[in-house]
Amino acid sequence: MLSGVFAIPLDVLVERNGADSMHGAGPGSLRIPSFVDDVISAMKQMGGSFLVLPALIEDMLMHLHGSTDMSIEGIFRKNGNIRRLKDVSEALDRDSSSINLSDENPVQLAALLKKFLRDLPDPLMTFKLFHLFIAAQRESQVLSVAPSQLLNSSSDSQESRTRLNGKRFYTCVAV
Amino acid sequence: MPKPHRDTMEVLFVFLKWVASFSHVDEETGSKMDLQNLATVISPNILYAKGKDPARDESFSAARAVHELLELQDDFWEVCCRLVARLDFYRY
Repeated sequence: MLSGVFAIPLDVLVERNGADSMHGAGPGSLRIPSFVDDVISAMKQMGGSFLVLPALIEDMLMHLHGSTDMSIEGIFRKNGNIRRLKDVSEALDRDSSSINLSDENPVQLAALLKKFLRDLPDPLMTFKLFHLFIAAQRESQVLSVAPSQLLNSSSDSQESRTRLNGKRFYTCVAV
Repeated sequence: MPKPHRDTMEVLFVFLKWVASFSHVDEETGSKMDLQNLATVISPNILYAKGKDPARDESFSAARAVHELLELQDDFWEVCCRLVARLDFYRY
């Protein structure tokens, strides 16, 4: 039995600890690992605080906690505090409710999300489709022309926000 | 693409687009992380080959593919929805 949050196949994680996330593109929900939904929700709360807080208070908070907002330089590029990253990810693996993600700063959360993605046994965009995505990029027309052609040629005006299953998405990329 | 991967990818890409909106808040503030920079740092974590071949470094192509997908995502999710609608239409 695979327990924990990191280095678990996505399908297992979604089955065991899935959340109906409202963070997708459309109005409906998407079933994703609750860890991903939690990290994104925590970071979303850190957006825009710089617009609300007076500069002086913002500066004080930065000294106390590190930056509290998403405009911090190098988010997702900086690795944050490696020791803390290790401690937090190990704690999450033992008990996913033991960590309050909103206590972490945005750089630390971004590093945590990157670690989660990097640790997936089969990467997010999958080993299987790696060469297809690379080929699609080489033939950059494939990605940039196909969408408009498809839109123009669609005869039915039905704009159903139907969700996609895996096989259809593959078709979509491969068009 | 397996559905959990596809759905998590949609949520991640929509989120990264939001993150990029903080890249240049005003002249002084900003994360400096636009979609291009985010694609560069995130692609080694989400799009890489099984068993690395040192003779063929495709990390640059992978970053470009992720960048294009991030830029085109709105069309992309939309087209997918329409395509599914059409497939369903022809199926029944």
